[in-house]
Amino acid sequence: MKFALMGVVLLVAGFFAFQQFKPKPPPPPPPPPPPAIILEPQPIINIEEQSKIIKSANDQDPGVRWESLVLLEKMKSPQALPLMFEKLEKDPETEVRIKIIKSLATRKGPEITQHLIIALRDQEPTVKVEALQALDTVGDYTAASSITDTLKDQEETVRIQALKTLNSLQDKKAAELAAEQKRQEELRRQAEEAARKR
Amino acid sequence: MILLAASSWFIYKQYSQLAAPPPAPVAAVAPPVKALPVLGPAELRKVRVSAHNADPGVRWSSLEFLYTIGDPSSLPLLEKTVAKDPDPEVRIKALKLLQNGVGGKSLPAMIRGLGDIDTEVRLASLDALEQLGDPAASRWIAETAEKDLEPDVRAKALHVLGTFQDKRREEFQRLSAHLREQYESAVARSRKAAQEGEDESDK
Repeated sequence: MKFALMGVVLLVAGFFAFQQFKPKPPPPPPPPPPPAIILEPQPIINIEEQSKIIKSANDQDPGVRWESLVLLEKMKSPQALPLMFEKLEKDPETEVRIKIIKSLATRKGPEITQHLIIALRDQEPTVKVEALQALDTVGDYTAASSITDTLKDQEETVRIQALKTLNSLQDKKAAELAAEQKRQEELRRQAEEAARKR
Repeated sequence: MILLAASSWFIYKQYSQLAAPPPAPVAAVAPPVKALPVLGPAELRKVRVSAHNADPGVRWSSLEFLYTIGDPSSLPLLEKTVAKDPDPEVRIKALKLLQNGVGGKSLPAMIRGLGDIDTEVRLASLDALEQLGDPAASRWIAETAEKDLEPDVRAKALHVLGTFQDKRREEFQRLSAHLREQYESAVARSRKAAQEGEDESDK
């Protein structure tokens, strides 16, 4: 009886000891990131109402046309950029075309550069000047030859801005080259130091 | 004896980890005491009647007074004023009062104001809706942006929708940052636990 009791006690103690010292299972893998981190917010209006806003982009009033473009852009509508490009070429109001160029200047990409180059052929010198300034901001060197074409423009302000933009692009390229050279030199120095240590 | 002592120790350790006691109950907070109105019920009734006076100045003053003292009838009266008052000035003032939101906000009144005959009232409604920032009104604002006869109103409606979208983006970014923080701390905790597990198995 005494041995049986001792056996039971030992069994219980052994169980608790095992619980205490048993190896912990590997932690579960981290959960995948929640979709809200990756996704964009939904537009405040549905597709049907968005089509009304797209219609407003062809409103008689230039203020309404511009506000509709801004709203479509804010909602990240797939129609926003194509409409902006279209209005940049065809909108009768100079002010709207200038505002579109200012908005495009905040982005980058070959499509943006291409449409800014098209805007260099605008009838209004103010639009051309704005397009040149936008090309300067975007900093795409591929536009250099198109900018050179505007050096023959009848308007002095356009020619001056073209030269300013070309100068600025040249400076940016020189700065980029200098930065690249510096980076290469640093890499070479690090490699030499590593070789010396060996 | 040693075995008995060891087993008693394990049993004691197992059962000594009792659950933490429940938190102490939150002390009851007395509701804030509202200042009593200066006027009695009979006088208030007279002021409410003045809200229907023929003179727009009198109507407005009584509405403003009722709204300021937080009279329960002020909100329905203001809504009625936005919908039916013959004076556009009073309608605009009523919308501005609703927009300031001292005693309560009324989305239906603001939406009703979008269909007003007077352009200024419609613009005031859009201002009030912009201030309120409730995207529930988006449908009606989009309709105004499409159908209103005045270009200024159409442009303003589009602008208000843009501010709603901006607000949503800000809220989304805040939520996203919060979720990212939670996710990163969960990943860090998981890595730390894995490291500790590895260390223990090495020992």
